[in-house]
Amino acid sequence: MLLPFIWHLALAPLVNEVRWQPWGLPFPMAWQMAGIVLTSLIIGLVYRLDREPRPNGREP
Amino acid sequence: MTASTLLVAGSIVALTVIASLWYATRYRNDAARNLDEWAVGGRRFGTWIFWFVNAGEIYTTFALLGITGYAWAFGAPAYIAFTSVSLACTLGYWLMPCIWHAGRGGGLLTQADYFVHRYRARWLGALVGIAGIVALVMYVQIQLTALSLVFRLTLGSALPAAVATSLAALLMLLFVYLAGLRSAAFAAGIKDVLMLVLVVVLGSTVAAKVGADSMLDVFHRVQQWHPDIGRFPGLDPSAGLDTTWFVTAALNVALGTWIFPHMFQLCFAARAANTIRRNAIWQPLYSLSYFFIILLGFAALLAATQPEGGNLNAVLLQFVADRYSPLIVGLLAGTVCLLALVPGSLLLLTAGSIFTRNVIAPLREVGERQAVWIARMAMVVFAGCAVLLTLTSNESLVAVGLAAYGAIGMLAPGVFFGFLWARTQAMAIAAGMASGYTALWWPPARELVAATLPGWDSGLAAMLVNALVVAAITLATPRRTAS
Repeated sequence: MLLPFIWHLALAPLVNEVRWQPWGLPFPMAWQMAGIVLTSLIIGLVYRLDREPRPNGREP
Repeated sequence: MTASTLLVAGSIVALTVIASLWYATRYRNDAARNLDEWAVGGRRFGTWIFWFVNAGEIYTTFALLGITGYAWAFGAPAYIAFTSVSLACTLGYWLMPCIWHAGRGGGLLTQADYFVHRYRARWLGALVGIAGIVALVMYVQIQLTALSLVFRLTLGSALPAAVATSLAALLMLLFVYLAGLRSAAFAAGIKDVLMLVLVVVLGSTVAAKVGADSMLDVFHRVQQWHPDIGRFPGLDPSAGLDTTWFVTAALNVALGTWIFPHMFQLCFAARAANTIRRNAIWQPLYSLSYFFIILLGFAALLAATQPEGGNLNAVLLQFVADRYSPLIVGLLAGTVCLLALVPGSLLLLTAGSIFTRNVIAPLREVGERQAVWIARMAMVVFAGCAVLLTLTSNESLVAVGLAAYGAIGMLAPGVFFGFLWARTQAMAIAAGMASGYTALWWPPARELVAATLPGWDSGLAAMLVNALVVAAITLATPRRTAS
């Protein structure tokens, strides 16, 4: 769950220097949008792991 | 503005209000008598209704008018809209179920109830209640600003701002008086659908309106014209909106989102903790729609839109009024009305219930019917305060929003430490709040903090001061033996 914070915030200064414009979009904007998709995927994954039965009572 | 604009806007608002009131009549007998039904929807909200109320709270006029204005005036700093929702949901996945469990276990109705329950101090609940109300009133200011802009757009700019804002407050009060959370939830659903329709209609036609070949071409052209618009610090480096600002402001919004009393209270309304978790998975994806909102801001820039008085909150309204047919202007005006009315009424509803339960009830005995009456009277006063704030401010909606997040962030250490650190005591939380508000609002302290943490969002800096004070006092206080 730390990944979204690293993607959106910690890498923001680095990403700001990239001049490449994927599909004409400013790279920092495309990066933040990709971060949203990543966040949904990560939360979805964690939700699945949380719901799975935990053998021997161990954390997944 | 033409009669057809007024007709479309008026019908949208009237039909939505009537439909949501009809929807709420099924619960009306409960709602009139019982604060639990009125304020937290009887704790029966399933995934869909929870999603709509939640989205209704996140995507307000702050998003539509504020972010287009920010994109138009500054460029890249508008990306904060993407980041803050995504991070708020990540945090919410863990935090909201904690709040829900506390609410269910303790029969809590308001955020201040949580402080009373967790820290066993009614005085802290009253303090937190007042702090929450202040932040809510600041947030109502955003909605009133937007409503009065729409009124002046549709009824003519000759309408004095004071009249437009008072009318807006009156409409908001009427809406909230007629029912409770359930009406607002239903209206939130309608307004979300309308906002999506509007965003798709405007987004798909905007390129042609500004002479671009496609949506992406709008971005291409605007970057040719303003090469630095898409990266920090954006169009106006003197505004100080660089990556440090972006990181700290986005983090502050994410940390503060669920601390707002109405969001906290909304967690109590969910039927189950999993309802909340499922919501956190899908909610970030919805914020991709900010792509269209930023697109509209950039398009307005390409179209050389000049809102009256350079007011960046009015950029979208001005752009659409200049370039689109009266029907679309009406659709926009009606949608913005709902975008402001629904969240605004929920904010007032929350402020009213906090005032009754956590500020008045500890002082005197209050019956169930009397409680609803006091809450309603209090809302008139709070709406009045918000009108005064609106009339004395000409800041951008995003700046007002960030100031409100700064104010509510002062309650965040109490919530986070409350769940994470059993040793934290009421006195430490109160001392943290006092030092945090000093760092946020007392100019000499604010300057000192700004000099120590240059470029930081003032809200996050003050939250850090607050949290450090709480931690220091907690560590210095002898550990209590378990009772």
